[in-house]
Amino acid sequence: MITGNGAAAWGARLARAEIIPNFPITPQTAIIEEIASWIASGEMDADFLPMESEHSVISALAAASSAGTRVFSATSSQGLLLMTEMMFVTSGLRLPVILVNVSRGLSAPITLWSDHNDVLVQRDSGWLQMFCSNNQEVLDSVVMGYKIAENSEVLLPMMINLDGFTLSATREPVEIPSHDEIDDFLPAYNPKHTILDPKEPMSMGGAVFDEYMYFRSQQRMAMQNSKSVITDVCAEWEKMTGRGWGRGLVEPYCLDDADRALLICGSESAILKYTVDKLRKDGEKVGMLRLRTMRPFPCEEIVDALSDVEEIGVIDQDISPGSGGIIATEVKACLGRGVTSFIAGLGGRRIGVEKYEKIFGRLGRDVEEWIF
Amino acid sequence: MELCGRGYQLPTRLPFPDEWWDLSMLEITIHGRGGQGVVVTSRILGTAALYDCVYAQDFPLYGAARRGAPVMAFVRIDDKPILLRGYIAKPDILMLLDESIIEVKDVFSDLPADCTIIINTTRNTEDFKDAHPEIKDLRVFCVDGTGIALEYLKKPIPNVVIIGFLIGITQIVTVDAFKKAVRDELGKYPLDLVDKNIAGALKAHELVTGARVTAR
Repeated sequence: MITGNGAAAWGARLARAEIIPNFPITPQTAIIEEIASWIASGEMDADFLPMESEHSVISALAAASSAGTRVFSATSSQGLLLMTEMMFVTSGLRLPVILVNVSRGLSAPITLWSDHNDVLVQRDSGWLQMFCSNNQEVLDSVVMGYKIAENSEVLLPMMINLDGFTLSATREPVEIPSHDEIDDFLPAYNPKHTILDPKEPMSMGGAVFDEYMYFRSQQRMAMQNSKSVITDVCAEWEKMTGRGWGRGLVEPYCLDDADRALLICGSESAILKYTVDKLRKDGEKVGMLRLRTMRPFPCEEIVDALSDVEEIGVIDQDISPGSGGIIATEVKACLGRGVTSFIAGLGGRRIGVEKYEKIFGRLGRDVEEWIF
Repeated sequence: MELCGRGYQLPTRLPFPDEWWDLSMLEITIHGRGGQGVVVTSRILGTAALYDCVYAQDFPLYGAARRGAPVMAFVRIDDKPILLRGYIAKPDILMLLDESIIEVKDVFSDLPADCTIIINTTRNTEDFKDAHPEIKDLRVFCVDGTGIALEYLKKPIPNVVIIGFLIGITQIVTVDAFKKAVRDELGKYPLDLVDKNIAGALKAHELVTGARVTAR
């Protein structure tokens, strides 16, 4: 029985992360505390670097990764926002940093509960973004994350998101693979592209003029490449553990004959699955599509999964005031048709089975609806 | 901790009488105050369920993080993977580790008709129901958990004792699994304190036969 925070820490431990710069913020702190206790007891061999802010944490992550080490840290909410400037630097330098974000609503007012606006602020930062639905997936995703990010076709940092409270503080059974198993799956990090070494000086991220656009197009290509890498790594993981988490980019549930479906991401998807099961027992042809990666955005996979579904709704635990649900906006652009956009669960507000049932009854309109 | 392989099975054990609740999933809500072991209660029940080879989920809900403040924790137990998450509004079992919570929180509203309530109080069930007519039709079991804790631990921390009482009534986890779980979850405390907790819990467990008669 471990929490989502514990699962994230185990992921870093199994991946043998070597440098852990950190700064505390609720509800993430337990991840770093757990790692600190392992380092103190000798169970984990890593350097623990307490920093003075999140901006310094991400700077240290980038610097240590440039020096050729495998790095890990975790943050949440306001902490992630303070990292923003260096998020773009990290992806621009093509450093395979793994950062866990425990999603929490943004201030003001202050909330400690789950909400996806913090992650989605970083949507355009050039990081791979992965959403987890349970604690086992958190552990699995951290380990797989290194394999994906370090792939020479990708070389991008990855943010792994777990929902505050609903995963971070909730304990559930988690299978912890052995170090031997993981060492075979994920060999030591052996960078070829960037290594800061005093004997062979190298300049990274220097000023460019016309070439800037070339670098950005390289980043775009890496994102496109990451799709098949994510799928392949998930398939390999499934072979080893029996857990493939959908098809890597999306997880379809009861979609084969569905006439109505909801698209969702994160831990709420479990409650939605429960609702789908319940409605299916009453003969209703409903289904669900869970978005695992927000970046790369799996447009083809969404079109493929939802092409035969008549009425589609998108649940957003986020809001771009003046525009609408961020994920709904992207899904509409991708599908080229209207969807019903539901804004729900902001700041961890309870949705629950009854409201999901109500939501299924309100599909088929190209409108935005707030579910309080 | 050893998981029971990939095939989980509900062990054969004496469950609560079938008609008392739908055994598809068991949901427990625990109320108490910071320092009484509310969170540890949920963790012990979750860990014990896993030792019994069923699925479990436990989580706390904190308000102000200080001693004496109202705290809630929740447990779900099922023989298949648990999809539901978050706040449990309609528990099968409601545990009150501190009777004074009733004065600051409306803990008895909207309870399902088959809810079982366990209360840490010096009053007996009849007196308690007289004082709280809103739960007169529910199954209410009273135990002086703090009294037993003071006797066995010399400390007013009633949580483990009350779990002993709970499993005496409901058998939701086996006594063996419960003992293992207590040793896991209280692992940072001195061994004699852990053993005293278990002794107090077994004492409360023994009280149950009487409690079952008066409650029905």
